[in-house]
Amino acid sequence: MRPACALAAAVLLLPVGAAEAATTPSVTVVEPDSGPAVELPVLDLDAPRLDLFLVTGPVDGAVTDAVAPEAQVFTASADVFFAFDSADLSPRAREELARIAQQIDEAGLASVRIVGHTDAVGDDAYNLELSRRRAEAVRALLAQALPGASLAAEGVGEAQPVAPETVDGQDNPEGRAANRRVEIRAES
Amino acid sequence: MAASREASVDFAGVAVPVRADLAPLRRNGDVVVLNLTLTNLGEDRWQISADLDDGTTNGIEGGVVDQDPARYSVDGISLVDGVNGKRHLVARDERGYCVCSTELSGVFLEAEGVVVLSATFAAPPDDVTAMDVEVPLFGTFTGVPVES
Repeated sequence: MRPACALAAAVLLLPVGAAEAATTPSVTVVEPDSGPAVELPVLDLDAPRLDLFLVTGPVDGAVTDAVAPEAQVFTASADVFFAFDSADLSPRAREELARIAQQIDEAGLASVRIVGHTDAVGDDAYNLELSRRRAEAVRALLAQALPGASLAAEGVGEAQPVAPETVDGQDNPEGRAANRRVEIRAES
Repeated sequence: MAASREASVDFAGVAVPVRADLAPLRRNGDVVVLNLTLTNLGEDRWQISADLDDGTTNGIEGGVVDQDPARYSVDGISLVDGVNGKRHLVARDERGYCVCSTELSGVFLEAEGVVVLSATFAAPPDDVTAMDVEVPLFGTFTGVPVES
């Protein structure tokens, strides 16, 4: 096998050497136009990782709990927590607020903000005041259960609806009910 | 598929027959994922739009309706854990976006068209092996398996 391989190599090389000997090629070297400088940007990646709020609640919709690793948001139905035009907490509200306080305490969250909301029925100033009184009622009860926490309450009346109160020009009672609420946000 | 159901949906005054095929819920850590396949069985198209939306912002801190980042989504779907008496709503991220199919205002399901929609929820306790799934327009699918 070795002689045959050596022969094949010689045969392959021979034409190349013969071509070089027979011709002297004229080579013209064209220098490329350098042109404008090329930019090859390298960008840092921006890949945000957002915490998820996992949302659950009792089947009757009295409260929804949105729980994330470093914050919890509870949305209470004002129809369940209060009687019409009242800022007195219902027995069910007291029960739910005790549970919420325990959950906030167990999560080690110390800053709590409470915001009351109404629907758009009635006078703006009255709704604003009602939402304030309701938020304050929630704050006062939570403060008893969370003595070490910082709690703040405010009312915004009908200014921040979460649902349309009319649809195609028709009254939307479900939307109004969704807007009558108290939101409790707890953070570390 | 875990369950299938047909319903007639209305688009611009025209009744469009649509089939909903629900896959088993898939448990993945702290969440379960729902996949819903919709098939247009009719000859007219259906703009899904807000038909599967819950109609509220459901922002983490409330918000203004017109600024809802999750309008025209499938956040009207919810799961019910009958064992523990809990309703599970679609998960949200810090911005208030639902973790679900959105922008359905631009989705037109043509005749024989198929679309797959999804939503992510809090997982129920480990011993819960089935949940009821409430889907707007299609009613409640009971006893849908929760698979690991």
